[in-house]
Amino acid sequence: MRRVFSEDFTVSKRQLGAGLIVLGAALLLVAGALTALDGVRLTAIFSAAAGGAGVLVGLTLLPLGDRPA
Amino acid sequence: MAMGETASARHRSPWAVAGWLLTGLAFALLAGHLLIYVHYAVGLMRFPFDYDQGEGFELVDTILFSQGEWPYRSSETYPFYASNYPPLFHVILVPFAWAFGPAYWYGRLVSFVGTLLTAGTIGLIVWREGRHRGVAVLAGLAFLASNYVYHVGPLFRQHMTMVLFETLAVAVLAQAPSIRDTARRRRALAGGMALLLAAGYTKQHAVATCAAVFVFLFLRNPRRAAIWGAGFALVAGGLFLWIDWATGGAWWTNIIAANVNDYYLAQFTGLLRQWLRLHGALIAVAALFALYELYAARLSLYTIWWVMAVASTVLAGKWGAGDSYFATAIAATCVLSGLAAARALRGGAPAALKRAAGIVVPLVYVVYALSVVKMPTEGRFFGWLSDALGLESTHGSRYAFYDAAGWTQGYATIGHVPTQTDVNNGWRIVDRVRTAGGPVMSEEAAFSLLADKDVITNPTQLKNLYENGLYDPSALVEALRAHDFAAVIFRAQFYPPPVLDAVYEAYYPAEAIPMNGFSYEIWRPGPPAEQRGAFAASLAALLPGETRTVALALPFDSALAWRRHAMRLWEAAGGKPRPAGEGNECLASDFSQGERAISIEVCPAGAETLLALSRTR
Repeated sequence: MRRVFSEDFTVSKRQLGAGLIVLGAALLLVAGALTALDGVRLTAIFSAAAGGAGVLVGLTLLPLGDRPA
Repeated sequence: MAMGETASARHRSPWAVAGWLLTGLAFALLAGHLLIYVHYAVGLMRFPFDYDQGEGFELVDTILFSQGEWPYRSSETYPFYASNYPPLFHVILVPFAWAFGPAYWYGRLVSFVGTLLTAGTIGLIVWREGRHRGVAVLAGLAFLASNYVYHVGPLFRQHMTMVLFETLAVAVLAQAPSIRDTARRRRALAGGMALLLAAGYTKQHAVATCAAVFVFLFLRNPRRAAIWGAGFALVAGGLFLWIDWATGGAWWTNIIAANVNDYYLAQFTGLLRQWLRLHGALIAVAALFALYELYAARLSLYTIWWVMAVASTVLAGKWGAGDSYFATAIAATCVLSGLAAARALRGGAPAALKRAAGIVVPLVYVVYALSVVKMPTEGRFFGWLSDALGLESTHGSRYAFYDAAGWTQGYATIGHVPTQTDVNNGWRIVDRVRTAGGPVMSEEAAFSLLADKDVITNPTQLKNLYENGLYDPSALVEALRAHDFAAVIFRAQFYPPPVLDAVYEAYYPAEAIPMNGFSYEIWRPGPPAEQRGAFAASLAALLPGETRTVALALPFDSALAWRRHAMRLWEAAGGKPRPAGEGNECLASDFSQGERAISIEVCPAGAETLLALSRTR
């Protein structure tokens, strides 16, 4: 964490990919929870779409390694 | 010289000739769009009334700020007015209000000039990053050619000033992290943050650009993003809390809580499809450039801005939103497609690819320019031009205006230049307000402002507040029932249902004046509450064969019009009113509802009118 907040740290493609996967998964969970609580609503559909897109793009970024994002 | 061709090759290559012709065509078409835009803007600046719904209330906000008052206030007390927009655009206009009083031209001028500056900033970004003058100019012109920018650009509305501040902020911040000199970098970051703050305090929709900026800063250096993000949140939040404190909480209620509106998915998907169809040529290039940066290069602020701006268009499905919600996405698309075009033409690409780009780039702008065609279809020049091009008005007889966009839910049906008849009819409505003996509740502010009377209500804001459970309309309903307003002027009846019901009960439509494609209904006070009650009670209690008479404190013609309105839920029978009574001085009409049939005879009685109700079945 100290390194992440250093003067010269830059996020890499792999780290961006991992971040998008985590964010996407969280949005998918939110979509699932909203659907369970309130049925299929627009907010849940938008969350699921954004979450799914985030996970997919994140997965494709993982192989790009340490190149700066 | 054609795009991508060297001087030595220009006379030999057929590619160069084709590229030259296409480039010339792209410039000519986009310059034509600019001329149409200027024609429209000048036409609107000369029109002294509301052109688009809600413009007048932005003028009222400006007037209130010029008098040192907040427009964020309770809507439950006279004049039942509050604003739902942040203050900066209106504050910028305050010197104009001091100098010229209430007028629409300066708000439209500032907004229009803002779009020109936005186009210039887009061009500057493309020039700075791509070093291609021709593409830089085309990218700026492409922004002004968009049907959506054309619509909202010269309106007295804050949206395009927000887009200007957003674009300026992106221009300043995109290169800030790369500045090596610490003092210069900090100055650039501080300047960019100030512009971002200005965008947010012009309109809330700038939140997408704020998110894009901080994602970009985070990717470049999380530490810097955290420090500047904390500073930004402190200033923006502090300002927010101060205004909320100064307005006794009305700021939060009107700006945030009241903005949770119904969402219409069909409105968003319709507008999205339309946006893709109109701007598809540029969007395809921008999307390819975004993928290139994501996988093969480094993400710039421009790409992140484009992604966030496109994502934020989902809000266009809200009630009251529309095509203007795509304006930031259009600015970002013009930047990104311009960068892609400039790099394809000047980068280190193979010669064959560059030569192809010399054709493809101008072709993209030609296709785009042909997709966004819109123009007036009457007048000496535009009438001739539209005839020559075979274009007819897409608005029928309502407006003489062709728009390739067609129509979808949420797309503003504007773009035409108002006529002298519209102006004359607007002044007729102002005369009605001037001669009315008291304040007038008008759905548009212009008539009251120009008649030097109080502006009563901001209808859409009352509706927003009411639908969020934040507005008790009982004081306004009581004022309407007591005829506190000398007239009510409707255009679209965007009031909360209880307010509309009170108008229907206590007023009647006395006159309709057409202006700018809409029918402005002037409703006058009906008879006093006890006489309305007596009429309703007689109507309900009347037995077959029985006749009852009710006196109305209205002159004969007004009583006739009121009776038509009062019987609106009954079916009119027997055609036109027939002469009746002694000397045929009365008029009788028949009405039926289910099994019941009633005849009403209207007779003059001095300053009053007598209504004789007879149940015939």
